[in-house]
Amino acid sequence: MRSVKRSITGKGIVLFLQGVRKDFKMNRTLYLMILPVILYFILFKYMPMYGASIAFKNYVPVKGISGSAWTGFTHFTRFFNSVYFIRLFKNTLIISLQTILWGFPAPIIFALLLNEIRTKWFKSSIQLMTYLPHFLSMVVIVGMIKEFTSTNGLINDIIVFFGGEANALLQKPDVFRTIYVSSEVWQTIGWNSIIYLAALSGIDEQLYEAARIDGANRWKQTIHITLPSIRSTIIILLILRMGRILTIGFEKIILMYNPATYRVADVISTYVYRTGLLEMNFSYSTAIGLFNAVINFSFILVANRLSRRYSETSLW
Amino acid sequence: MKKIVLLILVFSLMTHILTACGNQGQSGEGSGKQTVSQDADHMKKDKSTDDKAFSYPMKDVDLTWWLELTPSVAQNFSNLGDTAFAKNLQQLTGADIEFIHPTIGQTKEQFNLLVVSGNYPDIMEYNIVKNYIGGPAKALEDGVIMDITDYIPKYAPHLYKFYQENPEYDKLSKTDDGRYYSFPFVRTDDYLKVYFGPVVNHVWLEKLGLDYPETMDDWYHMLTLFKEKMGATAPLTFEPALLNTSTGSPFIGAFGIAEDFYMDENGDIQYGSIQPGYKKFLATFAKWYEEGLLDSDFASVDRNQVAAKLTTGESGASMGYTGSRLGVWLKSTEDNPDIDFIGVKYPVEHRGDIPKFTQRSFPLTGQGAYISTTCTDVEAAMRVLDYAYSEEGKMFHNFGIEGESYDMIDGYPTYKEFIMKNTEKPVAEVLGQYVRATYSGPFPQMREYNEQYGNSYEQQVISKENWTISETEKYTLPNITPTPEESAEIASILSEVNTYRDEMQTLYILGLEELSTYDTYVQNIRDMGIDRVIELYTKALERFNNR
Repeated sequence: MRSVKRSITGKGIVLFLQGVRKDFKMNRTLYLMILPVILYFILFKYMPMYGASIAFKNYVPVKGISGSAWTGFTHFTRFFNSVYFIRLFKNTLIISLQTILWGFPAPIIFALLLNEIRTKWFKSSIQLMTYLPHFLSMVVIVGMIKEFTSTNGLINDIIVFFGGEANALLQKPDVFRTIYVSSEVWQTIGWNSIIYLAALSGIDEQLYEAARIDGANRWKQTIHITLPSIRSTIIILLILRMGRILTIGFEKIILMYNPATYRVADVISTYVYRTGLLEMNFSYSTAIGLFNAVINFSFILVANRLSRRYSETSLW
Repeated sequence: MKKIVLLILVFSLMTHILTACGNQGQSGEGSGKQTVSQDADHMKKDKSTDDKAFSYPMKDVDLTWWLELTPSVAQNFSNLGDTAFAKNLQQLTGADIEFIHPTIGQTKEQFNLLVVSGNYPDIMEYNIVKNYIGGPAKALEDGVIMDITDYIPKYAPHLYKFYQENPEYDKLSKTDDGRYYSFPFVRTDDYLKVYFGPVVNHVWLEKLGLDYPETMDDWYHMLTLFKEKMGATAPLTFEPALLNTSTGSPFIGAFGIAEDFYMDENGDIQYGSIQPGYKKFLATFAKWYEEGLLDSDFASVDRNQVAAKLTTGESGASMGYTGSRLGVWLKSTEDNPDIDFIGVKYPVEHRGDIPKFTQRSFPLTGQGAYISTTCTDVEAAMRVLDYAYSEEGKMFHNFGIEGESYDMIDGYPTYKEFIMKNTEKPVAEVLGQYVRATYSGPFPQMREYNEQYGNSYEQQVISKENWTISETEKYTLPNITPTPEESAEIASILSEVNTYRDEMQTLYILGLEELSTYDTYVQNIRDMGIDRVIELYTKALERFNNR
């Protein structure tokens, strides 16, 4: 029995290798083209996974990863029992969901509106202006935000003009998320709309012509032709975005928050930065980061499944 | 056939890259052993050279040196190596030194990354006592810095002699079990230990007919008048971080406590931020904030914004360092008759009290230079550092080169005119090119430097006199060093406690949290384990006293 089994698998491998060889012969250039990509993923995505094992160890730099002692799930339990666990988790989720809620549809709507503009120079100058924040460094962006929101900054000037009272806005916990999310939209709207504009330009003009002949106005054309045509792009981008639901750029929050706004602004990634890099708890912060990655992964799985069931579009 | 060759090529390339990376990952693990063998190599070398015949300059020495570039130097240079100081140092010692600097403002992050990388420069300058979690004992155990106890008599005769002559410094520079680990920054004179305190615009005081404020009530009265009569929009401004224990817990100290740990009348260690006095402080500051006496951007201002508010008359009071703040503010308001600053006594609760907590540095702060475990030429590195503790080296680090940056006038090293009376740049920037005395480094800092530098304005002299009035020695915790295990426990407790304390402090002051919840706040801090930290600190203090 055993020998039979082995011979079958042996044959299977041989057949598989023959198939690969044949395929390789036919598509040599394609294989060469994918090589750098494979190497990239091995080097920068798979190799570092080895490093994630320090989450289960008491990592001491000089002893190295393999030399440090195993501790099992100690770091995870410590995080789950930490007084900050619930707050961090909640803040991360809220800020992330708000960013998706406002930040995801904004570039779509923006692209649709832009698509309606027929004057070329006007369209391209608007595009140019909205790209710009994407190219500024985070420090500059936050510098501007701080300037705008200080007691004698632009926003307070407007509030005072309409009879309100000036406040140091970045010190107010109840407006921190609003400032964060709205500045996020301002920063990304132009850049993120590019992909939708590309999808829009791929729609067959004949569809619009046919619709016009049938008597559809601009609004109807948008609903029945434009949106369905870019639906799969939207869904795929949404699934990808869901996969980053707990990953919030710590840079911007670190630059923006202060003790007064910790309770609404402190998120998992800022906590990882503080405990890991500033307090040298390398293992502990890796454990938190790993936990973060697992949650992200499950979000993407769920989003993909839902999308496959209801819209027949999915990543895999 | 060709294709098979290609395939093999690709595979071998991939495995090559994989193994190469694997090796790199392991190099960190091997470094412990490496150092051992390096030490052994070094011993051999040592036998061949005659110790007594040593003299500067050395030959064929290359070293790397990691340190923070101080802001006043960074104004004009991107690397310390470009300054006259570094060029002279290299000439005098004969060592070729490559200086490596972290990005300004990210020293802590970058030092910690350096530690993880396992690839260290020969010399690292940092404050390991204060900033390395676990302190020097842990850094030694982690194999980051080298235990130099056995090398000091041989390769650092000047430092050795200095320790022999000054046993009180010797005690501060060792671990509890008697190991040496650094070339320390030393303040050789009491005069050098005080350099920070509260500052007010005294022109306004004169206009209002007020005396210099002493009590918290005086301050309240003064700030109110600043706001009402002088049109100050933010009468008192400073960054919250300056309330820190290392700057003497100004304002908090008025209520008989420090912000962090201190010793009470019985010599017991206490944590200030849960004492009844702390509640009084919070109530006072909340009141000041509500009445607009404290800067409304209090929690988010930075150093530059503070300077701008003070020098334009938006604010009339702050806190500052003698040179880098008070000196700079004085310089930029020289032409303004309405603004002139002076340092006043640390505020107290009742008139006639002597301030208990003021800024007073230790003779050894923990700042210093360390030889890394990957240093390839320990002798050379130690010789370069040891130079600073010789008579000649001490003069060089404090005053530069005679004839170039200073002259000996009646036996007193006097900085040249172009340094002290420079029309274009502040003294700190000009002097920073020639000496390291204006900030810190591995050398003994001398009184004569500060008598000139810190006193370019008469206001600075008076300020210092006012800030010196205190009983702080009685209450300050010395630089104790918990064991690595204790430190790990302390760090994990304090990281939560301090985040929580800072957050609640800001919320109470801004009025976002009612002071009626103060008891819950204290209980929360107790639940986080503050008593355990006090217990561990008490043990460390006993060991320190027994050294």
